[in-house]
Order: sequence, then C-alpha cells, then structure tokens
Amino acid sequence: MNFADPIILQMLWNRLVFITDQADLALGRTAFSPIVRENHDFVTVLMDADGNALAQCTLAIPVFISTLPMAVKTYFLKAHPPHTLKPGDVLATNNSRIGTGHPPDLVMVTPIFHQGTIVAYAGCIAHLPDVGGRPQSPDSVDVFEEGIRLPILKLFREGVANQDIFDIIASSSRLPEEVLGDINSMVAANDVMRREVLAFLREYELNGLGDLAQAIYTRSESHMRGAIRRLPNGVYSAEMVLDGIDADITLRAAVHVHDDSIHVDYEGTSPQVEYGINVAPHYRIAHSLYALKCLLDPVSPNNEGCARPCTDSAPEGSILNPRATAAGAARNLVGHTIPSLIFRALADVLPELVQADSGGAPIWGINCTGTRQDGTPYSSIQNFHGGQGGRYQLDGNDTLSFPSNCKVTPVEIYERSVPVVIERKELIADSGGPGRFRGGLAQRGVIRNISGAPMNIYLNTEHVRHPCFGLLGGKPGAPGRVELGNTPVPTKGRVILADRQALVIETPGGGGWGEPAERDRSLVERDLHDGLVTQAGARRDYGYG
Amino acid sequence: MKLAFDTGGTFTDLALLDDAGVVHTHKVLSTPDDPSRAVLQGIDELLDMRQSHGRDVAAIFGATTVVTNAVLERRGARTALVTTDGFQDILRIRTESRYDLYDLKLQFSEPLVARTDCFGAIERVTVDGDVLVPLDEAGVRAIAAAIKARGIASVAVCLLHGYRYTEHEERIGALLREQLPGVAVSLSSAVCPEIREYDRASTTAANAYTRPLMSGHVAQLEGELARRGTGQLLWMTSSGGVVPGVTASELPVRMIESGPAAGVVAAGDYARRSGNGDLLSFDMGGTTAKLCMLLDGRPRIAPELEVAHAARFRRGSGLPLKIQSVQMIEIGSGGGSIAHAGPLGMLAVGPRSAGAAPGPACYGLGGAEPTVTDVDLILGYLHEDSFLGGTFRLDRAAAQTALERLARELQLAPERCAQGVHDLVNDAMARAAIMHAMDGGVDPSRLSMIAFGGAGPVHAYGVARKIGVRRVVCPLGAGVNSALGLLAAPVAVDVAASAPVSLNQLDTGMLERIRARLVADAAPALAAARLSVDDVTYTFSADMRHIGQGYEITIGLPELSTPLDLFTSAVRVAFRSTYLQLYGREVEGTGIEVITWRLRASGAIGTGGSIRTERCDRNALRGRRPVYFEEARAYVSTPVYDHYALEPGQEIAGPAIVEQKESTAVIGPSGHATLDGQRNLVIALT
Repeated sequence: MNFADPIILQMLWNRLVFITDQADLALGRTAFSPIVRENHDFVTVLMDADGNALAQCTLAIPVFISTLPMAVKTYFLKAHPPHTLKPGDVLATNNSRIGTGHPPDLVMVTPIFHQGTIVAYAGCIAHLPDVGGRPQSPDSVDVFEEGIRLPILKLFREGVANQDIFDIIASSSRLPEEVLGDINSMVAANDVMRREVLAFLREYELNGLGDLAQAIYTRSESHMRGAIRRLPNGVYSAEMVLDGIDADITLRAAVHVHDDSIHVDYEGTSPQVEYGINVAPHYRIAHSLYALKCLLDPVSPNNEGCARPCTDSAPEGSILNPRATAAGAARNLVGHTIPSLIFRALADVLPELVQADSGGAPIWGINCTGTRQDGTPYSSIQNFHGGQGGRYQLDGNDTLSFPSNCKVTPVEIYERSVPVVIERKELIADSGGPGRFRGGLAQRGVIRNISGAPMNIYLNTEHVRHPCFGLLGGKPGAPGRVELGNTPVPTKGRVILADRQALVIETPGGGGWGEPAERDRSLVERDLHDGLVTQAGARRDYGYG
Repeated sequence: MKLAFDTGGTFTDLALLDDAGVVHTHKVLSTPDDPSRAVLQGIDELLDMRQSHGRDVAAIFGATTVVTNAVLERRGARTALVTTDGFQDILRIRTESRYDLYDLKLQFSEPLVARTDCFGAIERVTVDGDVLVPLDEAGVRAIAAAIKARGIASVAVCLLHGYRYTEHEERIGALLREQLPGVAVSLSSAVCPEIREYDRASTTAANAYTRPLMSGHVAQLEGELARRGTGQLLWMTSSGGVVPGVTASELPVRMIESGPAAGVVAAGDYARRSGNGDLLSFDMGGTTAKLCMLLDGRPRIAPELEVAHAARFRRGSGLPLKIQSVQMIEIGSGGGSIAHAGPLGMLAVGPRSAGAAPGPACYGLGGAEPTVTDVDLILGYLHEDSFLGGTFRLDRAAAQTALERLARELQLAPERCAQGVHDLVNDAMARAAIMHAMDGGVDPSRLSMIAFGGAGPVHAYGVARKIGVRRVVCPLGAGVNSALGLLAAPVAVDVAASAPVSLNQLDTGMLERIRARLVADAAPALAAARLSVDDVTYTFSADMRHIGQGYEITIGLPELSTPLDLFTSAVRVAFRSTYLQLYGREVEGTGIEVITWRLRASGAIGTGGSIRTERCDRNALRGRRPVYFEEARAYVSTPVYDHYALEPGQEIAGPAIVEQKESTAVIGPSGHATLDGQRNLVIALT
C-alpha cells in the first residue's frame, strides 16, 4: 500500500485517531467521576511497536502530550521487555515519575499481538478518584505522603487478573469501588484499541503498522520542522516570577532555535521546594510541547512526529526537574505557567501568534471543608479562573481556563454541597492588562459562610504578588487578591472563615498585548460603554478622555 | 384534511393530507423578511390545486426557522436581563472552559444581551429557600424605568435558585408588567425551571430575545388563517411534538430545532409503519449532515442543546439551551463542503462550505473550489440535466476545472482525487454515525438507515457500507420530509421542575406536590391545543444521579401517584439498570438523588398517509450513464430510473441510479432495491 498517497494516508490516519476516540468514549462513558469525564482528565493513545505515539484521542488536556510514549519507552519496556510479554498481559503504574507527576494518574499499557508478535501498544491514563495520601494538596513534603505508589506491575497475566494488586489498591483508597471501577474502564478502553487495531490490519491486509507509522511521523515531523525553519536562528530567553508558597519562584527559559529544531533550556530556574508543587519532567515536557504546538502546528493530530523536532531540559534539582521523591501533587500550580513563559520568550519572533500571560494559569481552587450542624462533614472545591492574555487582533477572553480546561461548578450546585452563599461572581473592570489588545477580565467572587460554625478554606492561588505579564509593550493584568473582612490573607493554604464571615476572591487579569497607546480608540470607547474599563482606567491606561 | 408547512432557509415545503389518506406536496421560495408570506402563498396554491378551501382544513402544523435565524443572524429584539445582584455578568463568565485546546485565538458566541442591559436586583434566596435578602422593590422599579428609557422590547429574569423558589421572579415579573406595558417578560422559572444558573439564564435570554419576533409571526399567521376559516395552527418543538400558538409565542426558544425535529418524526413515522423500529436517520443537505438514532421508532430526547457556535460545529463555542430536544449529531459534511489540501499536504473535505452562494463550482455562480456536489457530478451520481428535476442546469466543465486545480496541487489524477473526496466525506459521516450509536450503547451495524435531504440518498449507500448497515431506505418525498413528519406529530407539552431530593427522603406529600405542579404547568397548553383530558397521556421522567456526581441521566418514572415504597423501589431499579446499560457497571454503596422532574403530556400520534403523485405512464427507465463505483474501481454503465414512475414491488438490481426531483438515490453493484407499498426505495446491501 502506498502510504505516500495523500488520500490513502489521510484515510488510514483518520481511522487510527478514530480508534483512540472510540477507546476514549469507552473510557469516558464508564469513568465514575463525571467531573473527570467532563473536563476530559484522561487520555487514550495508540503506540507503535517501539512505544512511539501513533495517534492520541482528540480531546485530551495538554498534560497528556507525549506522557505515555515517554513512560513506555523509558520505563515500561525496560521493566518488562517485549519478549517477556504475552497476549492478555496488562501493565500499569501510578508512579508519578513515570506518569504525569502526581499519583492519582494511573498509566496502563496493553501490548497488541498480531500473528504472534507485538504490532502496537494500547495505552491510557486516567485520573483516579482517590489513591490515598493527601489528595491534591501542596502540603506534602515528599511523594510518600501523596498516596500509594505502585511500581510497573502486571495487572493481568495472560488475561488473568492479579487479584492481590486489586486488593492492595482497594484497601489504600478512600473510594475503593470507584477506583476499581475506573481501572476496569481503562482495561476495557485498551481492549477496544486492541480489537479495532486487529480489525484495521485485517481490513487493509497489513502485517503491521511500521510503514504507516513512519509515513505519519515523517509528514508531521516535516510539517513541524518547516514551521520551525521559518523562525530565525537564535536563542530567545524569558523569565517569570511566581508567588510560590513561602518564597518567590523564578522560572527561566532559553528557547534555542536552530534550523529546523527547537530546544527549550530551563537553566536558571529556582530549586525544588519541600511542597507538593514540584514539576516532574514528564509534566514539564508535556507543557513545553503544548506551547510549541499551539504556536507552530495547532491543527494536526498529536503523534511522535510533532514531538521529534522539539526537546527541553532543566537543571537537576530544580523545580522543573526535581529529584525522584519530591512532592508534586499540586504540580499544576507551577507547571501550568510554562506555556506563558515560552510565549514570552518567542514574543519577538512570533508576535502575531503568542498570547500574553493568562490568569487561568494556574486554576484557582477554593476548597471549603467543615462539619454541618447536624454533624455531617462536607468538602468541595470551587474553581475560579482569571482572564486570558491578549492576542494579536483579539482581546483575551474573560475568565478562561488555560492551559488546562476546567468547567466551573454552577453556584446553585455548589451551594447544595457546601453551606456557603456565593454572593457575587462578577467581572472586575480595569483588571484586563492594558494593551493594543488587552487582557481578558478577571472575576470577583464573594463566599459567605452560613454553616453556623467556623469553616476551613484551603486556597490554591497564584499571581497575587506577581501579576500576569503583558507582551510586546502590553501591561500586566491586575494582580489577584484574597481578603477576609477587608484584610488580605495568606493566599495559599488554610484560612478559617468564621460563621457569617465572607471571603473575597479576585482572580488575576490577563496580560495585555502591544502598546496601550496603539489601541484603537473605538475599542477603548466600546470598553468604556460596556463598563469593562472605567473612566479613570481609560485615562490612566490609555490616555483617553 | 390536514396541512403542514416547513419554513426553511431557501424553500418553504408544504404537505396536504387529504381525507382519503393521500399526501400532496408543494414547494415555494421562502420569504425571509416575512416568512408568513411564503407560508400563506404555499397554502393558497396547494388548496387551489386540490380545489379545496380553508374551511376543509381541520388542523395545520408548522415548523419554522424564525427562532433559529433570529439567534444566528442576531435579528432578535433588544433584550434586558435581570439577575440576582452580583451576577449581572453571568452570560459573559460562561463556564470558563475552552472548546479548543490548541487554538489560542479562540472566540465565543457574543451573548444575546449587551452588558449594559444586564441589571442586578437586590435579593437573595438560599438553596433551601430561606430569604437571606428580601427583594428590593424600589430597585426593581428603577430597573423598569431604565428599561423603558432605553426602549427595550423584551426582558429576561433569572434569579439564583429561581428554578424552585419562584416568588421573587414572579414579583419582579408583576412589577415589570405593571410598569412596562407591551414589553414581553420571560421568567426563568417559567421558561426553564432547572438548576444550573448559567444554562438557565442563557435559555431565558434566548427566549426573551426571540419572543417578539415569534409571537408576531404566530399572531399574523393565526389571523390570516382564521380569515380563511382553517382549523387550529400547531407548532413543532425541538423535541418532536406540536404545541399551540400560545406556547410557541411565549416559549419560542423551544422551537429552535423545529425543522430538524420534524424530519426525525418523519423517520419515526416510517419506522412505525414499516415495523422497522431501529433506524439511523441520515439527513445530508448543503452545508451539514445530521444523524439521529431511533430505537423502537423513537429518538432519544436530550435535556439540552447548543446553538450559534462561534466555531463551526465546536461544542462549547455557542449558546447552551436547556430545552428538551431530539438528540442528533451534526457534522460539517454537506454538498457544499469544500475539498482542499490540508496543512500537511493531504486531501481534506470541509468543514468550510461554499453554501448557497457562491455554491459549488457546478452552480456556475462563481464558486472556484471543488465541493462534494461537484465531485458527485463528475462521478456520475448526479447529472447536469436532472438536478432539481432538471430545473437547474449544472456546469460540468466548471466542476472539472475546479477539481483539476486541486488534483494538480496534490499531484493526483483528477479522477482519483474525485473518488477520494467522495470516499473521505462518506468516511467522516460513517465515523460520526458509529460514535453517535456507540454513545447510546448500540452497535450501529444492526440499524437500518433512512436517507433524506438533497445529498442524503446520494451518499447513503457508501456511508452504509462503511458502517456495516445492511438496509437503506430512500423515501418517496425525501425533499419535503420535515413537512411529512409534521403530519404525524403528536401534541406534546414538556414541563420540568428542579426539586433536588435524595430518593430516601422522598415522601408522598412531596410527590403529590411535584405531580400537581407539573400537571398544572402543562394544562394551559393542553387546553389551548384543544386536547381533552381523556386523550392525554402523561409520561413522567427524572434527571437522576448518584449523590456526589456532577451530571444526571434521564430515567422514565412510574406514575407519581404509585404508592411510595413501590415507587422508590421501581425508580431505584430503573436507575440502576439504565446506568448499567449506559456506563457498563453499577456503583454500590452510594445514594441516588433526583435533581429535575419532568413531564411530557401528549396526545395521540397522527398518521402520515401515503404520497401520491400524478399517474405516470412514462417509462421508468430514463437511460444509462457511466457512474463510478468503488467496489468495481471503475466507471460502470448504469441504468437511471425515475422514482415517480416506479411501482410497488418493483425490483432493481444494482448498480442503478433512481432520480427524484430533489434528490438522487445511488444503488451500488452489491445493492438490490425493492419498492415497498408506499413506493419507498428499500436497498438491501450484501
């Protein structure tokens, strides 16, 4: 079969992506936690016989880019070389170093045998509801506090479940039924890929996927390299400073563009910390690749070829390459800002493509916990997002999740699960960073405790001391703010809210793009009319009026 | 006799069912500036043709694009939104999530209400109905004054927890009506009493935005039809039932998928009459293809849909609406979809469409890019002399030129390129169909397919082969399918109420209150539809979930007057078995809760009748032409038949082409067709 033919290749490639989407549907339909399903916090990937990514389901969030192939090539196939695998075997681990940097994500891999040899691997990762330890908290000192840690195991041997492992998982989790159910869904999803790949091979009379895989990689890789080649050679650097937990964290990136390849070097980045916000290498790499793909090739389906021209590195012991046992349950608080950092570095070479820093990176999570007057405990997280950064020709969208993709729980639903009244949820005028294209607006949320008793609130916030930066002359957005009765409070960790007391949360505004003086006057007037900027703001930021 | 009309973007289709059970069809050009003109013209012409009068017509059924187009083209009324103070930005803050992960330039649909026309009423009710802040009536009067000063024609009111605690909304409604005579007021507690404030506000705003236009349209048509002495006018909703004019006027948002829902009802009518209940309805038009699975003759009904996508067909980029609607999947594959070289140098089709203007290259209206229709012409499925019954001559040379340009770019032979376009577009539709069926837990290869729309019958054979479907029906009258569906549609009034409660905490009094409220809410529309209580069937359902989950599934309920212990045990069993069917497993040890209660009050299902065309003595075989078939990998000399001249029971071996006025059915070499009793073309694939 001629895989160079632009019709044959398109047809077969579509089919491989479709196979991962079918597995995605099988997994998503059966996952227990609908919030995981709605936010698509899982991935299905089809890999070739060497563990390279052939196709990935269409809708996965950025954290999953390249994670599975890295896990398979670097870890799985070393622990379990192909000649030790049999049809019906299913491998799995939740070691955060091997997976995505936090233990709830279980990584599962199933070899696909055809005519006695492995032709491909089906893989999936899903966020399990609970694996013990402190759930998603930055308070852990090391990885051992974050939950159970399974090495790469054979969950099934030749189709027979290894019951001991299931028992260990069940006894380590607060939600054993749900976790075991989700694991079964993952097994089923991999089996959908196995079944569909075999049907595909029969239908097209192929013995393996090798030549097709090479055709896909070559086409993607040359497209990506072509996009890089249009950038001038050079080293483009940027840094950003984050609030961190008890001290500033500096992230530095030097983006080396050399002919048709890119290397991102995070030299100069702050050292790792004794909190669960360290970013394991796979999580960092996924976000580096995500940023580059947004800029250079936003449309083609993810596969090995897109990743080949792009590499990154970070100094050992830094917060972006911590030692293997460093805590990282809340690694998103730092990792989500990587795309903004790369956009900043490349702003001068790709001014029309980059987006200024976003207040949705990271997500602000507000966890209200306590005990109702009738003695029943409650605990539920409400998320808040800041504004998106400004973009060439477009203002940032207001209140947008980026780079992850999280829907917010409706107020009417949240108030059912937690004894609070959310009194306001509104845009903040003047919070969008001024620019030729301004940042998206942030929001103000007011949460009042009506439980009749004090309430513990756990805050995960960022950009309170260091606002979202603008690009190309654009100004920073308004910083975030958390207040309790008009007094600023610590923005990470626990706050105690007395009965009838209210917590005021202001997320960060997105950074602006381009000089505010160059903003079209009619846009300033529109914003004034709509109340998105105030008279005072228009005068101060745009010299208007 | 009964009459039906379906106002579409280009044509208004009409169907008349006479007392002998025979259907007569008609088609006139739509008049978008005032859609009722085309409707009345069509009705008058059709009655004239049958030498009948308005007074002979017992009932008229309408499907309309008035509501959809008002939203899509932003032609609705200037609308104000009143929310609980502090939530005026509800339409702008949305869900805070993205519909595309890699597109940094993503944009969302603009809200239907300007930010400055959003007002906050000072009030607050808790989740349990306690009034934390009483309603500030002076503040509401000030809002009314501002609305009046701005000349705003319609108001939406959506307060927090107003799905259940309606007093403040009702009081605001009364104050606004008192101060703003002539201004329409839509309360969220009446439009959509369902929990989740953003979805409810979005739905209420869309209702308010389209209400002046739709109520004007209804009033005008009702007046004109009354002058002609016809029976009652009923309107198709998005969920496949018809409602009286008063409902269509006050709750226009429910009519937003009126036409497509009518098409699905036609498929259901076919399913019932043929005894072939499990169907995939496949409607392929100029810009999109719509697919809908029917099981046992019934489509699935979804509690929400999304319209006005800012990015083509991307869920999450548009406006969410919490209304009952026929669940279908729509993809950007139509006759006008443009074939092009993708960024990676491979052949791609759509979702960009040439639309009606300039249209496909072969329309000769200036389109220079090859479309699916151009390729269908080149491959012999369509013919320049018989398109739209020969009334619109296609330009084959223009299609060929457009295709050759693309073929050169891709370094392919033009014929190979044409085959690739046809095959790729079929593949995309087949994949969508497989996903749609899988999502409902069904193996799609066991379904029959029913094809309509201009391009449906052309592509049905190829799509069916890819899915593994063995039976394809191309109905007579495929071009007026939605109008035919209207004739069979039952009166159906959907009402809902969110009253979250754990199944364990249900008591008899609560069930009685919920039942009474739902029945009372449905009563005015049933009365307006002149349905007697004895003819009404009540169907109760509920959106339920395991406690702690974020999303619900809809479960059919026993009568709410069933004794409590029997009721709860039956509901528990129904929930668990539906959950198992949809999600493949059970969840033990967690409670179950109801979030929203639903009632559908419906009348009897109508009968569609059979289409009659004038007796036709002409030869059914029109001639032969070369047609390309993938199975033969070659052009094959293929007989071309006139569908109207075929008789029931007649058999046609593939390959063959069967032409109707508005569409062409393709039968491949491994297909074998039979005309059924209603002269529908039934193709068996081997």
